[in-house]
Amino acid sequence: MAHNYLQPVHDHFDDVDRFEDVDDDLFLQNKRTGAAKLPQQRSTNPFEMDDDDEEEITSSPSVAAQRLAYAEKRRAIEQRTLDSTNKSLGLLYETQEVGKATAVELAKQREQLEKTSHQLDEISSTLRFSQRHLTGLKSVFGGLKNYLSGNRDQPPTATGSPTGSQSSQEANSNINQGACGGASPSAPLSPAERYDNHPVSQLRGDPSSTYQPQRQAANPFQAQIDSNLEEMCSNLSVLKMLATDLGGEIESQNELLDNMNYKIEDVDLKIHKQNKDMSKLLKK
Amino acid sequence: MDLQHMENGLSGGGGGGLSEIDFQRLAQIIATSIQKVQQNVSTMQRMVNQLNTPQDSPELKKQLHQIMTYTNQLVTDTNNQINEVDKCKERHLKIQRDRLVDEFTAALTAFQSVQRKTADIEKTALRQARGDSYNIARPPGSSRTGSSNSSASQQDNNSFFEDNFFNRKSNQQQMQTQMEEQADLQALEEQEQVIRELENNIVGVNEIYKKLGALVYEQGLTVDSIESQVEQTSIFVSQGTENLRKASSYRNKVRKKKLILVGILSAVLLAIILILVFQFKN
Repeated sequence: MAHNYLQPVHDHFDDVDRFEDVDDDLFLQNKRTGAAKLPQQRSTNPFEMDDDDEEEITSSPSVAAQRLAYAEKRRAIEQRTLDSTNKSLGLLYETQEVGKATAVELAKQREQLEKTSHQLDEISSTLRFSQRHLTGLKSVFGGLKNYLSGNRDQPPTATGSPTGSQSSQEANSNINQGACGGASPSAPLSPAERYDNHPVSQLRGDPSSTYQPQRQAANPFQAQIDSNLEEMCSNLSVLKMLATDLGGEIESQNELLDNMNYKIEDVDLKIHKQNKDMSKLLKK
Repeated sequence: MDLQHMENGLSGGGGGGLSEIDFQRLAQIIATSIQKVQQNVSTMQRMVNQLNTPQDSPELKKQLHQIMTYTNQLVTDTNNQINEVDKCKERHLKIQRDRLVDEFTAALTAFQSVQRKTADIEKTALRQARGDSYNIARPPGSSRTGSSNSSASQQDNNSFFEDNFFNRKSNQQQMQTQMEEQADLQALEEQEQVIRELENNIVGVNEIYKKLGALVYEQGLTVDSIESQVEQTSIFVSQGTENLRKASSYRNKVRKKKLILVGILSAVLLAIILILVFQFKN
């Protein structure tokens, strides 16, 4: 109780001093100046030292809050950037799978087209034999014609060999086109590399130049971004070569289809003619 | 009250410098003053919270300062009254006095904290003006007090200027840090923008590949159809050729038979003619 009795007295003494100062200041200010400055001086004078301490305490939390906000913003942007690069990589892998499947499909179609072309050649030769049979069947003198055409057995063989040479030329042209397809990716490869490296170098240049002072802090994030970008670069190169090869393959198949179209038209005409001849014979 | 009356009766006319009736009156006044101080402190707290907000206005600040001034006056009066109450000597009155002192101390502490908050806000907003008012305010203090207080005022002045200098320096550092942070954020955002554009391009490439795959698949169906039809044509043409070969062989056989018959008939006729010629000569 004695301590409680003494301490309050001490507090009152301090309070008395402060309030006396306030009263005196207020009294003097009222005398000297008008009412304009009263609120400022009243509010500021009594707790000057405490105000300084309060200001220091207040400023450090605000600085800490700003730094926290900055760190959060930075982390959010980095996270979004990383997610974007990961998504891009996923799309690239998917695109690569689709491209490979397309290439396999094209290869199968090429085999089918070549087989069909070969069958058309066989059909053409078969029709030639059937034509000779029809000639023999037409009349008694057909045999003589066949004998004469028998003398012509060599010319049909000669006509057959040009066909074979044409097919071999076509194969050679396809091989040449394949070679050109192989050469064409190598020729634009250097500009492709330049084109691929240009945005990547830009991406690498900007963050590296900007974050040199803070490389230690951003190192893991920056390293991951760089590795993702390099992986994207290599995948894009693979896709470019794949696209070039697909283009060449499709061009060659287009030519193959055109040739096959001519063969089919020829075979169609022959079949129609022979059908007419057989109809006449049946009427007889 | 009954107990107090009994004690009053027991003590009779004896007592200290302050009578019980006077003590109770002062205690009542002090309690009322403490309640007013508490109410004013809560009002000032609400007003301080409204500062630096859309609700802030010069009128609000004026009201705040009026209440603060009134509360200061009230605190001073209450303090004087509590000092006067100390004169009482009786034990139970002393206990009541201690309780009042505790309440007054709590209210005073809250009042001081509100004053500090207000001072912080005004100092932040009116630094230059406060410096001027400080220069104006210091001479009255020094002239008012003696030489012993003049040294104290000098120390306060030095500490004030030193604090101000440090505040300015830290503010400059904060400004630089903020500018650097903003530059970093801007660079990060640009990087994100570029990477998003790259992602959009890759999405476009993916779509192109998917369309190509679909077209090649459709072409595959067409090629399958062509292959099957050409295969059937090949089979039919082979069958037709086979049939024509049979027809040709049959016709050749028929011609051979005809020739043989013609030969036989010719031979028979020749024989008959020869026999007739021989009989005619005889």
